[in-house]
Amino acid sequence: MIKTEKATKKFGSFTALNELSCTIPDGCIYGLVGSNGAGKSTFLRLVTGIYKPESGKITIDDKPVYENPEVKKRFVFVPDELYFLPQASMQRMARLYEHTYASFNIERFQNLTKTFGLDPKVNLNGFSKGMKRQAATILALSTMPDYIFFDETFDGLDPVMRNLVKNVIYSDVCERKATAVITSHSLRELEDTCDQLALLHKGGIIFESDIENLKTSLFKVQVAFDKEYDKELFKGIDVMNFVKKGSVANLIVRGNREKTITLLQQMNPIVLDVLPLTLEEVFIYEMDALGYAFKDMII
Amino acid sequence: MFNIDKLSGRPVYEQIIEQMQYLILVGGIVPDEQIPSVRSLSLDLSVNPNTIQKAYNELEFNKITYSVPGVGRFVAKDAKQKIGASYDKKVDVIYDASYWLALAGVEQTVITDTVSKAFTNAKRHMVERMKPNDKN
Amino acid sequence: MKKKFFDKSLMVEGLSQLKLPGFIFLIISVLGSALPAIFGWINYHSACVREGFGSLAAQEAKIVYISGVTPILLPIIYLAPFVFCLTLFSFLNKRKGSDFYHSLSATRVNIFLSFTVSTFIWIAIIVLSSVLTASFIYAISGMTFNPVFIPYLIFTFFAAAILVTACMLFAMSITGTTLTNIIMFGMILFLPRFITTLSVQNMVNSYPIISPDAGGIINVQNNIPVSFIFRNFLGYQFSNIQLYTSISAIIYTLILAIIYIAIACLLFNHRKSELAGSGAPSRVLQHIFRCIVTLPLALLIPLLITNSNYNNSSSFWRSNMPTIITIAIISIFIYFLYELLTTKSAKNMIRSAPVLIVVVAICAVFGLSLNYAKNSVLNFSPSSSEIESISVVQYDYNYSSRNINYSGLLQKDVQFNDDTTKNSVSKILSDNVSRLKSGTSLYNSGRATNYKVGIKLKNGKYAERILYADDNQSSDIQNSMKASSKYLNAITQLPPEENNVNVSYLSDQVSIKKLWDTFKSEYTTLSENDKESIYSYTYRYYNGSDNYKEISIASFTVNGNIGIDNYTQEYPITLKMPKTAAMYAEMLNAKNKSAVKALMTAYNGKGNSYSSVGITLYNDTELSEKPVPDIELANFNMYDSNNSHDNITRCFNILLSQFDDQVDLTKPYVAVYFNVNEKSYSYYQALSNDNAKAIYDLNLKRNM
Repeated sequence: MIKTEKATKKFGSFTALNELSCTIPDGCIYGLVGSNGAGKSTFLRLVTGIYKPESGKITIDDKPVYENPEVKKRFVFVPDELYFLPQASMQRMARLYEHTYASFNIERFQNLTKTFGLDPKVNLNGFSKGMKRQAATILALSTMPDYIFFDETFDGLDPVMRNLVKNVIYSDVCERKATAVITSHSLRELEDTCDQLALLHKGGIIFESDIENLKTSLFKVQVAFDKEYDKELFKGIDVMNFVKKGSVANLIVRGNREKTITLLQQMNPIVLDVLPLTLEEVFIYEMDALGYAFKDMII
Repeated sequence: MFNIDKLSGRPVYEQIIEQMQYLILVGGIVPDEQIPSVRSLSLDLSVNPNTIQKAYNELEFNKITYSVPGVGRFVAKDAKQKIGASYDKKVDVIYDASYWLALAGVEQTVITDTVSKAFTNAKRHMVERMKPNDKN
Repeated sequence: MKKKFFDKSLMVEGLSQLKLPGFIFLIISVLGSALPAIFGWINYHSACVREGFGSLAAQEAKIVYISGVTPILLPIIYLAPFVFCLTLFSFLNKRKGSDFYHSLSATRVNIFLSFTVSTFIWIAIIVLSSVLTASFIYAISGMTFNPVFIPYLIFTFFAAAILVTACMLFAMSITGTTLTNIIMFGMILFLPRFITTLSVQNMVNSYPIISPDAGGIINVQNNIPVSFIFRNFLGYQFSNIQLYTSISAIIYTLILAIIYIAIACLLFNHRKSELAGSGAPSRVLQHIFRCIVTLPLALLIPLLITNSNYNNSSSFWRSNMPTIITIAIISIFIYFLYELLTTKSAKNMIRSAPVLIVVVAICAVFGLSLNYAKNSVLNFSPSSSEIESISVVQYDYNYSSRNINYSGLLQKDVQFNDDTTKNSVSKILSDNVSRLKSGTSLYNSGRATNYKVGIKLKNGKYAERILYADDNQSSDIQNSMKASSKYLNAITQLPPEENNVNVSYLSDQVSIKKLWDTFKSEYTTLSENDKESIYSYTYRYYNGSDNYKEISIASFTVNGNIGIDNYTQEYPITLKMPKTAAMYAEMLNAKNKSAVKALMTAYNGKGNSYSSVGITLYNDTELSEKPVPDIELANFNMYDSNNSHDNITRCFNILLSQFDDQVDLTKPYVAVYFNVNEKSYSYYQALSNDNAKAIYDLNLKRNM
């Protein structure tokens, strides 16, 4: 379990992370979304022991991460800007990883390389950006990590590759209870892959939830009555948002769908439709409720 | 076996539960038959295993499936009945719908024809399968 | 726990990453060592073929000098570590690389040490292969190669390269761009020695009574990579033998390297990954670095100002002001340029102006401290009763070298407790000090003799001083010193074992050994006085006396060491050792006879084709049985110049007429020498009295 307790990281006078706390359980695929400068990369670098926090604790299974080989050997980090040795091929990089990760599995590396259709002997400089991402991901996954950290890795992969990578991660999660932490700009990216989601803004986690819960906790109801009505009609329901145009009202409701439907039907509406919300819409309304303008946070 | 629509907005785990129940009802998977492992389903559908785990947990909670440690998960003997029980309420829906249609002037035969069509299709979709214990 | 500091796989990875530059340097070093050796071999072989196996040319071509074994390593010990560190540790300068390595399970110390070991291994491979290649070729060539060179060369070059590596690692651990890496590397390697060397030079210039190598650490020779460079660019005078065979230098260099590596390791451990790409870890350190970079030039100003004893005069200021102002302007320019180059921000450059005060302050403090140190030297002038004992360390004129001689090493252990010596020393020292205080020269009324003494006070204080004594004071000291039998022994004992013996103009080791053995056996028959005079003979120039009745026809230069102290001493061959002298003359004549005859015959006024030609007439009125009448001068020299061409031709003709006569050094004789194409030829020729007079007349004519 990755636990961050009130971690603060400053660069000079700029505070990148401000007393950030979060817990990532094992076997979870954790998505972290936020705009540029929100602190996603900083967070990952704190968790992987690259940065030392100014204050706060970062532990994996209650053991501190920083400069702790016992803990660090269990994870691998795939950064947004990839590092390759000059003029290296994938094979050369595999050797580097072999030297630096005791758990590096050369067979897996070869299998994955073949599956992804990459040539391990070619100079990586000749790879496209997406292929470089794939190469880096393959190398990282071949270290058989218990924890794998992706910094905006998926943003550069095409859908086919993304599925391949997802499946490898899923396989690891199933078999070894591996944990993955993925950051991204885009909710859409994370929606399919992750089971936990957190929103990072200005160095702090504003919102954290299970994805499935997110999707089911809020829903939209379109309702119309042939009589006059207003918001007061729906007092028994947890309405987060109420928009009325003419006789049709759109409600964003939090709660149990079945119960709400039943309640509404008892009011004899002429129109009653339940519409699912996209994850983005869920976020927007949740942020709204928290007092943030979501549009300011995500590009 | 499953057909998950990720864009529909309906939570994936709900779709899994629903489709699993459908399969059981239809007979595509029979009592005491093993259901796919989390891993294989996750890879087949490219769905987060935790999501599948969640769905499976709920199925087990509702005693529609049971698990044998070290072996896997299986359909419960009375799964069909249990699922059916949760659909009891749907009968009321039929009453409500019929009532309003009648008020609206729709002919009764339309409704009964629709009901017949539904039953025919359901029977057609039900798969005749041997129980696994009957194999020799 | 072992895993925490060093990881074998990381080391292998480091070796692999260094493969490309490593192999390039390896090839360069092997070729660069093989080729000179092969050329030397060819040279020797062709000299044998051309002029005969025993010929002078062959003899000279046969010797392998230690500085000629692996000259290619001189640039390599700076370049290779520099390139290796930049290659292997370049990840420190880029965020990508830095983040990658810091996310690995290995601790920072582990990465640092493992990669450092990889670098050392490559350096060792290069140094070893270079030395062994050259040694092997020399060994099979039949040339005279002293196998003791091998460990000395290996350790000297290896130690130097390790220190260069250490400085580079130190620099890379505190900076984050290649430019700042290089600049701080230069500062760390050279600045401390630069400051100490110039300070010492400054102090000795102002107050020559200060001993320039007080405290072994100050001596720049102990820092091998720095001394190599200083020697080449600042014209230091230490011999090759000392440079390559100083065990104290090897030990000091290695210890300093270890200290720097430990510091670098500590800094690396604390280094933030965010430092990659920026010139300094914090604004404060950026200020510090910038000031450090300005210091080498800026410190010249206080050094200049305090350099002499005479900076009260306006003429001093007038002549030096332009230089001072120029240096100041360039320093300021460098100060701002550094900021601009490393932070690429004009705003920072302007903002850094106030910190310039720090540089000025450091210069001022430095100048004042230098003055204070020098003046406190002047305060040291104990009375005879305050002195516990005196030791005399023979002093060589070349202050920067460690050319101490064997007698000097023995003298160091001799303590003089008698009042006479103490009085003499106290008096001379106070005289010197008062001269310095009043600005009078230490060298007046003729020559002064120098004595380097160690003065131990009764209160435990110890200081070394160089005393400048006039002739009276000098003879007082000499007499009181000779009263000690231990001192007498120190100045008359011959070294028991010598690393090598050289004699002017001879190069054949077998002959030299024979000559030296003869000398040693004759030496034992001499009286104590005679032995003393041999000792004093070497210092006749320093003692300022030309009145030596004995002529040395050649001298032995003996190098050796007692423990880690190297010594060099000259022993003159005079007519007090007639057998040795005669043997030498014979050896020389045998070697050069035909060459000299040919040169004399061909001379005929063609002086320009030779670098120098000379004739020295020896006619010792005391020793010769039949002195030539009317010759008032005992000896004279004739040198080749435009005016003397004809005279010398006539001299040669006279000499050629008597060429084959056997020379007798007890009778008047002539020494002829040629220096042609950097080869020297000497020859001792017998003279009849008539011929001696004729030559003397020719010389007189020349002088008119």
